[in-house]
Amino acid sequence: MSALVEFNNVTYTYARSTKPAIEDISFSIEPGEFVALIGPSGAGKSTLCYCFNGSIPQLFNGSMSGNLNIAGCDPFEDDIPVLAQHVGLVVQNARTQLFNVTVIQEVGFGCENLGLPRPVILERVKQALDFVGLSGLEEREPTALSGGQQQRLAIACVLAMDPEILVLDEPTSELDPIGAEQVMDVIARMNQELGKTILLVTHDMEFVTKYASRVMLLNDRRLIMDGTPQEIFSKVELLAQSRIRPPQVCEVAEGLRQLGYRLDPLPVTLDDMVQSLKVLRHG
Amino acid sequence: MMNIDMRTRKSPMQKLDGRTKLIALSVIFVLVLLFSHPAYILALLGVVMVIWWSAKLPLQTIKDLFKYFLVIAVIILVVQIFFYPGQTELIRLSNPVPAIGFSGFITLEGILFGVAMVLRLVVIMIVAPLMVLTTPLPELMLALVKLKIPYRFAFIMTTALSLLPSIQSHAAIIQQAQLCRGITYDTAGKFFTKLRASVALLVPLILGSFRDSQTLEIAMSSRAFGAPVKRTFLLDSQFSKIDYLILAVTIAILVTGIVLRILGFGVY
Ligand SMILES: Nc1ncnc2c1ncn2[C@@H]1O[C@H](COP(=O)(O)OP(=O)(O)O)[C@@H](O)[C@H]1O
Ligand SMILES: [Mg+2]
Repeated sequence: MSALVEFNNVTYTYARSTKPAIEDISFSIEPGEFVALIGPSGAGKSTLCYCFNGSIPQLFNGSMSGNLNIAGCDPFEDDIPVLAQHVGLVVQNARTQLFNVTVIQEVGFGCENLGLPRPVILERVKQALDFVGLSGLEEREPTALSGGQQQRLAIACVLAMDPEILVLDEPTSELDPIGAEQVMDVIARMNQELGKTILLVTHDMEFVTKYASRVMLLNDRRLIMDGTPQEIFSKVELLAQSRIRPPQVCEVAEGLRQLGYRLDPLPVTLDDMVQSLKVLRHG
Repeated sequence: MMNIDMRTRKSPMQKLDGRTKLIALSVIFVLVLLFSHPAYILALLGVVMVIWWSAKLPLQTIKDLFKYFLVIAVIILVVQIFFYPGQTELIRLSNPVPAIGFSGFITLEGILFGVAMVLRLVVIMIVAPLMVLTTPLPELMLALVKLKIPYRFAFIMTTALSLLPSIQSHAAIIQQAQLCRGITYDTAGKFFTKLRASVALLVPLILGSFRDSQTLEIAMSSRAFGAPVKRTFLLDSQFSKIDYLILAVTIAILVTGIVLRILGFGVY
């Protein structure tokens, strides 16, 4: 069986730019994976996200090369509404993607555009709002919700269209810790309970170690690392070059390793760490 | 359960179908342009005020609108009174001044025309907010679509309307930020200072909305906006008996108006 998402040597240059925003990107994603995309700002993370549903190349005037397969669709050929049924894209700033006057209208918008029957839409809206924990706010104005609620609403909006892939661009970067936890919980459950494939852009390494099964590091428009959190976070120097600080647990563990402790694989969460130390101590 | 039924409101205006309101208000718009006699337009103004009252809208809104309109009204009135080429001389002021197109006297036609012009604008200025203030934007959009306006166009129009408040608050934020950095909007300031301040406000506002509009486009297409299928509308609205009644009355009034106009009434 072929992968759900395939990028082969993808390069994209925005109009009026001299150098590409992403260059020679190749990777593939299997169904059900939870991939975290990390990297300093300006690395090209958002650009890569736009490639997932055809926004790039179709809504921008830049130039693109390479080839892509997104759930059997080709972003060069297939219209964005077609891709949108496979990929739910939640862009970086939640506020700008909410433009309806009520929550229910907002969540129904995608399904209305797809021309689904009214009862089906109502059912999907209800389920999506339930899932993200916003039931009861149907008649509220999206702009009147809190930042965390808006972000979960933005997720519900694409979830209602039932895509198999969700691409979320820094969904927690502007939120308070509790709001961020709630959003991350929704994302994790979409992966675990609904079996959605997730690509999450984030700067929060604690979230990465807690939820992601795989990490991709983008720096200076190139994909420079791709592996499990253990593999990625043990490369302390490469991370430092990309101005990424690994989770503190990893820093401590790496320090212990250099002192001669045999910590293998590298513990990335506090629980892992405690477990590994117990093993070391008791033999 | 979710409430999509929009017919649970207070004022009679809000219970009407959006189409009824659009049609009725357009007819008023047409009539006000059809007639040129101040008495007829005054009558229309009366009708509009009654509608405003029945819609339970605050009079303050009208007052606010007219704070700005007053200056324009005076200018229009003065220009028409002095420069309208009428016949019936009322007051002679001076010898003709051909260089500026002034005949030297004030005419009855000039006064009537000026007053009619101002009244027309007044009616139009009240009719437009009547529609927007009594119709939630999704209903307005639905009405447009049901009147066979293409969905894409109707959506863009109503979304632009809905973004106005956010643009306004965005402007306020920019102004605050600029005040902190010493750019003033002092009303007593010199013309060029004010001009510079306005440019300083407009540039970030336009750049900002440009950036937003691109993200908005991405967000909209990511939710299948423009998919080549027949769109479903969650919201629905049917004509009720009152809608039919009002439409019938509206059409009767329109026909009467046209007949009167053809017979030569309502003009001078
Ligand atoms: N619309 C655009 N037009 C031109 N250049 C852009 C545009 N958007 C982003 N860029 C440039 O592309 C590069 C990557 O940006 P982006 O994908 O937004 O990075 P990230 O999301 O990792 O911060 C940056 O150098 C940025 O300046
Ligand atoms: Mg970004």
